[in-house]
Amino acid sequence: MTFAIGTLFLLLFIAVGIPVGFAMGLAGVVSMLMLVPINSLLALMTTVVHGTLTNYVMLTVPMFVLMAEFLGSGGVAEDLMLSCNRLLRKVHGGMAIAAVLAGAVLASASGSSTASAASITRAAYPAMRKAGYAASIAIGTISVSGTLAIMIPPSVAFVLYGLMTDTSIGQLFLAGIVPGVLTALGYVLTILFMMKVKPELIDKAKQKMVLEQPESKGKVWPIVLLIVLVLGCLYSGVATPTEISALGAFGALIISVFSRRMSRKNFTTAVGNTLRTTAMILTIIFCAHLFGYFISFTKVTDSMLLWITNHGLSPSWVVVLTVLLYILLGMVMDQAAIIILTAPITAPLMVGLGYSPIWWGVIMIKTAEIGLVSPPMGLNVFVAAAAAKADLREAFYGVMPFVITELVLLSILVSFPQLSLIMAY
Amino acid sequence: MEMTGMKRMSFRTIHSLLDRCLRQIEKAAIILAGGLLLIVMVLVSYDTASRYLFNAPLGFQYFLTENYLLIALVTMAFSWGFRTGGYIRIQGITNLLPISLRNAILRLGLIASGLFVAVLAWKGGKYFLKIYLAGEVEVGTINWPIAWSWIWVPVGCGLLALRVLLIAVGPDEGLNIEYETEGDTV
Repeated sequence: MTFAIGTLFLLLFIAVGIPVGFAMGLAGVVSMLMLVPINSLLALMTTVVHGTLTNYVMLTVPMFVLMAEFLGSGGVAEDLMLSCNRLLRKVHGGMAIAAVLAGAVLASASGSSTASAASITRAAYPAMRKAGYAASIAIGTISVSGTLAIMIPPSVAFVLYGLMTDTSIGQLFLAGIVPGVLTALGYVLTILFMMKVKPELIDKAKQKMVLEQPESKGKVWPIVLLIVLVLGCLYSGVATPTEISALGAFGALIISVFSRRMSRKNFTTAVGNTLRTTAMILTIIFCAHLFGYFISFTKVTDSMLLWITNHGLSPSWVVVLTVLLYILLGMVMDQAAIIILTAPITAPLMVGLGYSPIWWGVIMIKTAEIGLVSPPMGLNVFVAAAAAKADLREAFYGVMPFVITELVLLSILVSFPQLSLIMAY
Repeated sequence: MEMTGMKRMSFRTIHSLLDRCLRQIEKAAIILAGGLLLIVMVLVSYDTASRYLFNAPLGFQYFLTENYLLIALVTMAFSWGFRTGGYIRIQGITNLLPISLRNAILRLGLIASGLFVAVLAWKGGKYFLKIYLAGEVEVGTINWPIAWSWIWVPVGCGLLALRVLLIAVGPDEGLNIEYETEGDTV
């Protein structure tokens, strides 16, 4: 009952437009007044900010965001797109597949999916339109290519899940590799299927004209080197994710400087964007900790497990219902807020039901990936459409076939946990 | 009538003056935060490389980063980040309301938020004073003064509280800064 009241407070505060972080903090404070003496509450409020922000692992958030920002400023996506397109230009729909491939490679060095989507849009959209691709398929492909950064390590989303549930971030990163590769393959198959069913999505005359033009080359070895560094350190266990994040950001800065695309303005924008995003995420996290204290006091996870046992609900049904809830939440809420807010509740619940927290992390991130391109709040679609100055309705129309693919992939990952766990253990 | 106009004018002048002052402080804070961000990046990278390549880590790096640099760089970005739209707000329901009512609700929400952050700043400040006066240190190869790790809480949260409250009582257009989605969280 107390938990329900606290949740109602939270929903009310969010509904009246209070920024999500503050809404969590306020709801936590107001709800805890029902459970603990005010002095204890004030003691928690004294230590919550300092306690949250003096945690070395938190450093992964600004560093991975900085890495993505530096790569975006350094025009790495443009180089990747040129090189991938060179490989695939003769294939029907090759440029769309190249965008997915570029997105997957960029994801291996960037932890932010929206930054990734924005970079790929700038790199791929004008070229795709010039080559005769319909706006819907171009924006659809680019939006989903950006989402690969959330699953393929390093990923800020996995960092958030790991921080909120005390799960190994290194293991989460490794667990994301197979689902990430499967997702990229799923996107490629979707593009090939679309080209078969609706060949008119590409204007053949324009495509022919582009094919007759000389090929462009892009430098990809620096980014490949960075990926080898990041994934190599991660897989070999040579460095911790926090150390890798700093090394990655430093490497991305060096690449951007040597590519001579890092102007002073780009540099300050990248640092500014990183600080803004970091302040926002960490504000949400320390406020979520206050709400988390309230959740701990209510012992809601124990009550939920007891309720599930008493009502004979099978663990599989709990998983299915929770996944459906996440898909619905992803349509209307920000993905980072969903992870920070709900992971401390659902992860212990899944562990209590006998599931791996690593696997559940992958499933949660997969639903977040779907949320990033689902109407009406699909952030990546907004970012890609805004960067390309394309019509939003057309953009969401173009992304729908990929959302169907995503749902199929989600079902596969739910049914076969080994796919997520094979690399992690 | 003229009196009300003068009062409104003077309130606007005071608000604008406070806003300008706060902007200058925020500018200094964000430059400090940016500098610290880059220092941390270099420091951690150097420590990692020298540990694994030369077996010569920087002994002070971990404690310095965890307890001083990280908290400083994050809290110094709070206020500037909020002013430039670094927050997530869900406005599906409030957007359905008439503008005057919506703005009134948003203002109330921001006042509550500002007061909440002000309490965090106040409590953090009191604790800082307590341990500063007690001269508490973390004993190690270097004796780290704990109070200087806590100072960032009242400063960062204090600036944020002021910014949120200034926006809450400021002009309507300040209530709806859209977050620059490029470079977002996930």
